[in-house]
Amino acid sequence: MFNFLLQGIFTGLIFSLVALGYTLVYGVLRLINFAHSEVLMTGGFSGYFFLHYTIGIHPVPSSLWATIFYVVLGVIISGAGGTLAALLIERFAYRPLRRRNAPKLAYLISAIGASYFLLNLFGKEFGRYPVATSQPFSNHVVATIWGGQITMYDIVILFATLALLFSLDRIVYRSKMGRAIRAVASDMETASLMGVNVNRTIASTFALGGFMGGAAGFFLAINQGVSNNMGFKPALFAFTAAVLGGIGNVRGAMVGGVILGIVMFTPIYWLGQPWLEEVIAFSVLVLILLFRPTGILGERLGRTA
Amino acid sequence: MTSNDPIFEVQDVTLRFGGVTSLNNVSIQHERGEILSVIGPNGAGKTSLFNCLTGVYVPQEGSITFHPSVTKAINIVGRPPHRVAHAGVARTFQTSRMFNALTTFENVKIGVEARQKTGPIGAMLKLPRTRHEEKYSDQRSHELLEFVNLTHRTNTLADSLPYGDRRRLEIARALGTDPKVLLLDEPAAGTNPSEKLALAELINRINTELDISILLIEHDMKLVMSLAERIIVLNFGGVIAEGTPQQIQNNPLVIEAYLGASDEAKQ
Amino acid sequence: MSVEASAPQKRNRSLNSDDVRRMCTAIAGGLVLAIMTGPDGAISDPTYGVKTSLLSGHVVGYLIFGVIIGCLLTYRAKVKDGTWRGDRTTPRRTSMERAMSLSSVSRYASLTVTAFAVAIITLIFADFSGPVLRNKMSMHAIAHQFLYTRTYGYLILAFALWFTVVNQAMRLTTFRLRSIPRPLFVLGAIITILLFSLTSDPFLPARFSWRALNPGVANSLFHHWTTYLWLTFGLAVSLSWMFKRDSARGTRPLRRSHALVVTPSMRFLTYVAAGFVVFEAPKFMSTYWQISLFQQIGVFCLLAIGLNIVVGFAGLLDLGYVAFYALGAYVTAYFSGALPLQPPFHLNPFLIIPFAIIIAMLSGVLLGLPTLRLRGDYLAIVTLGFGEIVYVLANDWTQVTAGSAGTGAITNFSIHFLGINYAWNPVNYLSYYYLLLGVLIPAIFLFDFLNHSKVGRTWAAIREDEVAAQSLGINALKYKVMAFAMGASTAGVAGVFTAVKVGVLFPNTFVLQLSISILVLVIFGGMGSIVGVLFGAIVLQWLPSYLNFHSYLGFEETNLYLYIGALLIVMMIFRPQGLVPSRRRRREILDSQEGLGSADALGAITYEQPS
Repeated sequence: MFNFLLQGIFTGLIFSLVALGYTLVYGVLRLINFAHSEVLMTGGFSGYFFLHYTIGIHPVPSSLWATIFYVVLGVIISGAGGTLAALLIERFAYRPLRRRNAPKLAYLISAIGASYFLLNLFGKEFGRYPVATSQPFSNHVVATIWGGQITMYDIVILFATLALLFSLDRIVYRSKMGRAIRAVASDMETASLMGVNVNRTIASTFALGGFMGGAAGFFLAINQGVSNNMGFKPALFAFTAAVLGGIGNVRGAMVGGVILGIVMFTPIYWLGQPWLEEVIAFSVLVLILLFRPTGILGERLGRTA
Repeated sequence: MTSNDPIFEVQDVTLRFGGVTSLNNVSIQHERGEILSVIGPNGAGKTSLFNCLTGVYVPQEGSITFHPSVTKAINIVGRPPHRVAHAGVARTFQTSRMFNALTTFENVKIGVEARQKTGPIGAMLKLPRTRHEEKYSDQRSHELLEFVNLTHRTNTLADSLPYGDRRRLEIARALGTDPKVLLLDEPAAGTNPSEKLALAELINRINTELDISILLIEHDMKLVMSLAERIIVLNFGGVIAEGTPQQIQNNPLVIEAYLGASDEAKQ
Repeated sequence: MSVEASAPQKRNRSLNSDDVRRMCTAIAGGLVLAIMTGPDGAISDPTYGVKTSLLSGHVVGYLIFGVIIGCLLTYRAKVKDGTWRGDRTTPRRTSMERAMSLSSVSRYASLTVTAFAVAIITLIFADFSGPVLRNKMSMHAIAHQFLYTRTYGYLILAFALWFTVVNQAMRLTTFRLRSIPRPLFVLGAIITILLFSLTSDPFLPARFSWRALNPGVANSLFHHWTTYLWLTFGLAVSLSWMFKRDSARGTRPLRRSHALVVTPSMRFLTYVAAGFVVFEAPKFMSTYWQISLFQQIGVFCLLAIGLNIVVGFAGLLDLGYVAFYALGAYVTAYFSGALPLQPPFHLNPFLIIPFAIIIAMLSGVLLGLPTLRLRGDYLAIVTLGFGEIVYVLANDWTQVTAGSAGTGAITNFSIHFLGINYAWNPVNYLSYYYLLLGVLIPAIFLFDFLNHSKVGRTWAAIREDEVAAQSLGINALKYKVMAFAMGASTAGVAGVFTAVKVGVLFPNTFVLQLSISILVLVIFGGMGSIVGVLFGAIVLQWLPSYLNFHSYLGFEETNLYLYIGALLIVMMIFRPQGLVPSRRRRREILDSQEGLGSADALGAITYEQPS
């Protein structure tokens, strides 16, 4: 049981990373970025190629420093891939519509179009079957607590995601860019009158969310390999996490991810059917929308500051 | 007007947004058949009051009771806007909100139809009741357009109407719902003097011919003084004066509120 | 680009950086298209696909395409901002002047171009509906089509339609229907229909022979009883039109506008022509097309007009539409006893339809009620999740749905009623098609009535300004849930048809991607316009079948969603109202772009409440 709980927490951390992308974009544009799953996928592929061309089929490096080196570089490269994808999505699926003041429905449709375009473009170029990724470290069991096994992978995720979440929190709440983002989130027009470059701020929001999504893609790639539809389900779960924590709320997304992970995986211990986790996540989504649509920590990026 | 037959009874209503108090202990009595005007400087809480009366905002404290007839009493607080409208409260908006892609006629018709019972199945199969209601709503919409003098615009799209006509169309649409009381939010804003005159006449006709009580928010003092039977002055979310137009004109508090407000605006 | 030299005002005609940007975008678009249509890659050689697409001869055509598009975009932009003089901006003149003046050359040119376009489309149609040829769509094959009388039939029909509809709409020519003497017109109509029936029968010999008129010969013209029906119908229509026009003469105001003036009789004639094609054309098609007509086009028309209620009428977004389709199909399987979970009683598929409607509707209401109270984009993602859940249940919940192994056999349609005994034969593809038409055509009319009734107007009001609508006493939530449930139940009916036709259900039929491809049918045709949606469904569902059929074109079905995704973005950027937009919807989108009202119902119903 504890095993499932641990799995929930560590997967939940990845959800948090992805949920940040939804939450940031939602806070600024009041739109669900349907193409975020493909940001994740792009990050995963970037990570795959990085590991493929550096480690390849060579034996797994075993030293701690090698692990840190590969993970840090991998996160940066995957994050860059995710950022690039997010920026392209913003540039081609969002900005032309924003310039024209299009109705919200149009954004959602063009985002879903961008999602399917990228999904199938990757499928076309790289094949539509999952491929295992070279491992940057050996995934052995490090410790066992109450029957729950903690692997190297879990430890890497724990440290890397916490570092990422912490730095994102610093960026949003402390830096100049974060201030611009929060200003645009609370009132776009006023912010632009105050001299904030709205277009650039929106792009940087996408980039930040893209970096987190890409990094999450890297961890998923190490664990499950890459394929063109690897992003869909985690993204759906992450959205649920974002709503659970209060969409538009950065810290809410972090908390929501972990809570969703626990809620999703722990019952599997009793139910025994792994596919039920999706059903659970979906029920959680509907239940939150029914009873507390603003989420645990409440909505709005601009207000939480 | 001291007959004790109120159509709206507002008691000690307080509305807060976060730390900002928008309405503070407001009590208003609107008599049946009366043209009551609410005035006050910008940000005094006039539109917030309207939104409370129509169910858009739910005030934290106080009660709002609507009496569609002498014997009936309906509690407005907590009622969703569409059910408030159903009870017989119609309103117009400060910035006119038309259904822009529809014609003038269709706009009014939607107002009339909002009270009808036709469901999707009746509409698909064109059942006898649907046809009957359709005929009625067509006829009623024409009548209303005639009432507000917009017959010549029947098939014009709402977004190409001139400003004054939009105001009249909005009133016609609200009248379509067959209300007991009509809430007008700055109907004369942005209209020219001759349109204002016509509007005042229209409001009077609604009051006398259709026997509808009117609650009017307006900035144009001439219009308010000529129309209203009674005036309530709001400032900083509270009622500061109440009385006939003459009383209000000579009330030092009101003069101060207005002059003070305009002084602030100048700085 | 050639520019008319006689522009009255002197304006800056040089190209600026905007034009360069436009041209670069167009060329880049061409390159993306080249990658999209290029060979597939594999992860073992990740650059193969892009490299081959961009560095081989493959790219040349797309580059040219990009340049042409860039030129057209530049031309359009220049005409729009008045730098260049466009064809349309010239003042209207009388037909005589127009015929005399030099500038009318361009009019006749465009007329000719349109005529050519019509002819080519018709030829392609004739080609695909004809007998199987080895190398279809080569120039040779197209030329070969002229050997078949069928081609002439299609040409006649196409040009007749073109003259009546397109010309009227575009006012391109001085030749007007009005100038033809009416009896002559009736005669023309009859001859057109006769010629079409004569020539479009594929079993006729390559050249027309009178033998075909002999009723005794099998497969001849009068073999189909429907020929008589249509002849009578056509005669009646043209006669009624003649009399109607006479009686209405002088009372109808002469409208001078670019919009197509649709008289009731014209509309009726269009219905008849459409009905003719819909009922008659399938009989002349090859088996492949008969199957695809039901499975690919017919069912999807039904799905599309259902989704149109949600997206077009109510302005919501449903991304898990396929879930309701699957629900309808699995309900059918359940009541056929094809699932591991046995039903209390077995039913004929006809009797399952009401169950499918009710179950799909109920699930729509249950899903919509909690979600639609909130912002509309929540609905989008909740439906996405719902679609995924239904797929997962169908795939993994083996105790109930039999999982990926597929269900048992599903009962076929049959009638045992009042002494009539008829069972649908799986090999007789058209019997299912006609049965589907029996649902589809009423649905089209019912939904059209709905759109033009109180309910449709209320939806329009909610789309445009929800706050104002509620101030009139309209319960927006109720109407949104209603639209959602109606869309769902339409999908449920489509599910029944698919289930019965396919016979055995596999979860893979209901992948979530299908929702997106239904959405694109609605978007492409024009949300809110039933004609547009049907147009979108027919064109976009026909195209993959066509490309698949001609395998040498190198179309891979797996790449379909690549194109669909690109199409969605392009449509949203350049033509959000769709190709055949509803007038109301187009206006809304234009209005909302100018900041007047909205064009969807995605706002929150709950207001910002004081806290």
